[in-house]
Amino acid sequence: MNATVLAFLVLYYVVVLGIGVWTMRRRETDDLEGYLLGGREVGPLVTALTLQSTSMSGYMFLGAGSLAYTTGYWSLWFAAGDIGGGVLNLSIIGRRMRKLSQMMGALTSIEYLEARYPSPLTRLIAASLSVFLLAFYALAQFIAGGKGMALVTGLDYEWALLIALAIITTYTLLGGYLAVAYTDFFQSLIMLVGVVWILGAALVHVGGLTAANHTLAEIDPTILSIWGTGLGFEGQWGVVAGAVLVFSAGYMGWPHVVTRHMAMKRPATARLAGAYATVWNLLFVSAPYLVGILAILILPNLDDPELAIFAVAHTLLPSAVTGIVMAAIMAAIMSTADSLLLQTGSIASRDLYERFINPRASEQQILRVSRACVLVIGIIGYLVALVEPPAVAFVVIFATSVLGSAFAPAFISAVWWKKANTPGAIVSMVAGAATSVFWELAGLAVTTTLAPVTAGLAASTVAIVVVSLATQRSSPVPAHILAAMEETARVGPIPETLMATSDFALRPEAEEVESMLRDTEEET
Amino acid sequence: MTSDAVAIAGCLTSAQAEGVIASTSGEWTSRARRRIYYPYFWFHLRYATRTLLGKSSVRLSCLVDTRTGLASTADPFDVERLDPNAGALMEPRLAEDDALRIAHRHGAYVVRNGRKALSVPEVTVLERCQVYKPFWIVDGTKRRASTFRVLVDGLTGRFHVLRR
Amino acid sequence: MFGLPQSTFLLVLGFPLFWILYTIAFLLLTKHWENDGDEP
Repeated sequence: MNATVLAFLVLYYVVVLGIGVWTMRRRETDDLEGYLLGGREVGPLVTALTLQSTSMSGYMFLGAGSLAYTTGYWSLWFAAGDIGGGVLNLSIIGRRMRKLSQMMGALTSIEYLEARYPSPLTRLIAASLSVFLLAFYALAQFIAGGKGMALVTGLDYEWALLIALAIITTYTLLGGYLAVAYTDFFQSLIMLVGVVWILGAALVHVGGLTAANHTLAEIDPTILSIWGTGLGFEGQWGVVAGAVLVFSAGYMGWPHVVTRHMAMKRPATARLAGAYATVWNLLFVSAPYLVGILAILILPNLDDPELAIFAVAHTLLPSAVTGIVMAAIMAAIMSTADSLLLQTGSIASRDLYERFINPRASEQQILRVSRACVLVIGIIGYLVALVEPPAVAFVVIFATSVLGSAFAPAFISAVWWKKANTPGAIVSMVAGAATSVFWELAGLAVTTTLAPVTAGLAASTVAIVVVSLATQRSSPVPAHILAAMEETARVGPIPETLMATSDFALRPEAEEVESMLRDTEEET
Repeated sequence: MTSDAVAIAGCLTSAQAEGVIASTSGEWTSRARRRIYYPYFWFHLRYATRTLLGKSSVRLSCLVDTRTGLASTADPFDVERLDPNAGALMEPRLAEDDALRIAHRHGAYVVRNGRKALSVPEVTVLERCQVYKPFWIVDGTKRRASTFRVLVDGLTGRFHVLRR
Repeated sequence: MFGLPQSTFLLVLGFPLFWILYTIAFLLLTKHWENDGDEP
C-alpha cells in the first residue's frame, strides 16, 4: 500500500474525528442532533443522505463487485430488484404500518409484530430469527472490514481482521463518540463522489461502455449474457426470480429497515424518501456491479474477486483520492457493522431478555445484556471470519433470503389483510425461515432451479393464507386490532375527501374522545 | 384546580376549525360544537451520554398522553392560562410519576437509537408540567338528515373523523 | 445497443425504467398523504 494512500486515509479519520469533537464540544446547543432525534427533518438532502448512508456496506463494496466479476451481467438481476427495494417497501408497508404501529404503541418492528399477532410465541420467534440473521449480516461486515483493512494497511488478514473487529466492537460498546448525523452526512458525500469517480475512471479507462462490452464479448461472450458466465443459469427462471426478489421483497424482512418506517414522522417524508431512494439506487446500486464487470477488463487476474472494487480504485484513482475514498468505505462498513450489532443487542435485550426472562429489568441490566450480546457475536464472528470466511455476497444473500421469507408475508398481511391471524403469522414465519434455510443447505436451488428465497416466500405466503383461514374461528383477529385496521367502520356518511385526509396520528386521542362522548351522552 | 390549568397556546378559533372541515367536505355545513381540552404531561429532558470525547448532551421535549400512555417527542410551544368556560377538561388517567417513567423510556430509546450508543444516558428533568391541548369537535350536517363528527386538533388543524 | 445482447439490454434498462415508473405512480397516487399527521 502506497504511503500517500495511507496518509490520506489517516487524514480522513482525523477529519471525521475532528467533526466528532467539534460537535461534542458544542455544549447544549446540539441543534442538529436534538432536532433529528426529536424527529424533525433538517431538509430533504441531509435526510436522504443520512438515510442512505446506512445502506452502504460490505455487500455493496465487496459482495456486489465480486458477484459481477465472477458472473458478469447476470449479477445485475440482483440490482434489478435492489433498485426498487426502497420504494417498494415504502409504498406497500410504509404508511399503513406507521398508522397501525402508532395506534398500538409499538416502538420496534418486533413489538409491532407481537401487537398485531398477539402471542408470546410471535415475539420469541421473530426476535430469535432476527438476532440470528442480523448476526450473520454483521459477520459479512466483519469479513469485509477485515479484507479492506488488510488491503489498506498491508497487514495479514488475521491481524487486519482483529484490528477491524476491535475498532467495530469498541465503537459499538463505547458508543456514540461521533455525532452520527454530521459524520453520516460527510461520509455519504465522500462516498457519493468516490463511487462516481471510480465508475467514471473505469469507463474512461476501458474506452466507454460499448467498447468495453465488445472487448468482453471477445474474451467470453457469456459474460454479457443474462444467464451468467458459462451460461450456468440458463433457463433457470426460478433462480432469476430469487435474485430479483431477495433485495426487493426481502427487504421487508429486515427489522431495522422496517422499523425505519415506523420512525418516519410524516407520511410526506415517506413519499420524499421513496423518490430519493429510487434516484439514489439507480446510480449506487448499479455502480458496484458495473465496476465489477469492468474490472474483468482492467484487472483480469485478481486473486480475490471480493477486492475488485478496491483494486480498481487503487489502480485508477490518484493516491490521495484512493486514500480518502477507501477510508470512507471502511468507515461505512464499520458503521453498518456497528448498527447491526446495536440492533442485535437491542433485540436480544428487550425482545428476549426483558420480555421473557426478566420483565423488571433495569436499564443497566438491559444494557449489560446488549453488550454481552455484542461481545458474543464479535467473538464468534471473529472465529468464523478467521477460520473459514464465507463470501460476503453469499452471507448477505442468504441472510436476506431467510429474513425476507420469514417476515415479508407477515408484515404485508399485517396491514393489508384483516383475516391474517396469530397462528397464521407464526406458522408463516417458521415455514418461511425453515424452507429457505433447508433449500440452501440441501442445495435444492441447483436441482429445482428455484432460489431459496423463492421457495421460502412461497412457503410463508401459502402458510399465512391457509392457516389463517383454517383457524379463523378458533383464533379470530382481536376486535381492537380490527378496529385499528378498519378506520372507516361506524363512521356514518362521510365525504370522501374528508375521510382521505383524516389524520391517523390523532387516532388515540380520537378514541378517547369518542368514549368520553359516549359516556356523557349516556348520562344525558 | 382548573384555575391553575394551562393549555398549549395558539388555538384555532371555532370559525377556523369549521373552515378546515368545510374546505374538504363540499356541500356539508360544519359547526364547531364544542371545545375540549385533552390532558398531557410535558417533560423537557436532558440526556447526557458519556463518550470518548467527553459528555455530550441532547435536549428532548416529550409529551405523554395521560389517557393512553403513549409518548412522543414534541416541538417547543407556549402555554396560556386555561379558561374553564372555554371547554370541557378531560380527566388525566396517568399519575405524573408514571408519565415521567414513560417519557424517560421513550426518550432513552430515541437517544440510544439516534446516537447509536450502548450506554445508559443520564436523564435530568429540566421542566415539567401538566398541559392541555385544545381540540374542537366539529359536526357536519347535510340537509338535516345525515351528520358526521370530526375531532379537530386546535393547534395544527389536523383532524380525525369520530365514530359513533 | 451498448454492445449488449438484446436480453441483457432489456435487463439493464427494463428494470430501472420499471422502477422509475413505479416511483412516479407512487408519488402521483399518494398526493393525499401530504395532509397526514405531524406529531402533536
